[in-house]
Amino acid sequence: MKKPNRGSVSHWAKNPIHHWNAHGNAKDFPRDVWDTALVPDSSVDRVPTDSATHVALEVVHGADDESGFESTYYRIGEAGVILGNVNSLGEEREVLCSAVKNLWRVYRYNQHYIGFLGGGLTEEDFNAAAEEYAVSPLPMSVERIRRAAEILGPLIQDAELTPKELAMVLNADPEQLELALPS
Amino acid sequence: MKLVNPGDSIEGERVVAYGRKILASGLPTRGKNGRLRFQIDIKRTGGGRILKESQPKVTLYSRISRLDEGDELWGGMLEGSCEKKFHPDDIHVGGARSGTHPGQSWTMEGSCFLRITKNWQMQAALPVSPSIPALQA
Repeated sequence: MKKPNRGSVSHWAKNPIHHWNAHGNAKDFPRDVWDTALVPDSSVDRVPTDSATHVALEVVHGADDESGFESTYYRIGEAGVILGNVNSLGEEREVLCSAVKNLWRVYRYNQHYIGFLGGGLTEEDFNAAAEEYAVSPLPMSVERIRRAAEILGPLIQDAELTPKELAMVLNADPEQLELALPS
Repeated sequence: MKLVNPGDSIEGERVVAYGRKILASGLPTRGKNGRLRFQIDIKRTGGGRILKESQPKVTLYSRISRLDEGDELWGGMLEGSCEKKFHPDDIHVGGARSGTHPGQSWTMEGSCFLRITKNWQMQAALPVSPSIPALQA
């Protein structure tokens, strides 16, 4: 097999996922399992350092399967893929944090409401609580609503989840949510 | 006028809501007039009718809302809001009977808004009896 020019950025851009063993031979790396590749330290100096193309994620110490030669490997990956995954994780975290906050407010309000219905809370106390927990729905982009629905739908797993209930979790306008989500 | 399509809505000063399952839902919101509004959901088929028109007669919550007295909604699932707190004691049971279910009705008051979120075609039809006291008034 012809040894590719590993130092060229264009090579890494075109063939980003390869496993390099201690002999410098390239093997295809199963992309569906990893979005990263192992690179021996001997070729690290030739790994492009521009973070726009690839980034090193972690250092792995291990032995090569064929030669038993111990070496240090760097797990690297396409910057675009990794940053995309990191962005996605950040977005997911933001949606989940916001959902937990909104649901906590609903839970607290419902406690007051149950107290009012049960007669344990006067109307004045309940009105004060209602003033405290009153919300104004936030405007949201269609993309954000769709992404949030993708994240929360499988988590909630309720076949009867209505757009209004989802809007309550997201503190979004139900009408806007209905327009954004395909029926 | 009877409205049956998802998205159709009515607005009025007093609206009677009827259905098989009327529930309080979500957090209160702040209305256009600055007052608190309490939200309700009507599930398992229901509807609503304007008993008293709002003054001034303008739409506040949806451009396409109907505003005339007697305008009526009928759908599989509805949502709405008004300034009156939802209390189960105010629910009138009976009068909207369907099969074994007696039906419920509740009169909304103060800048009421009611909208169809799902049409009735996939739901069992709910005959509305004139015995609902609010409709007789």
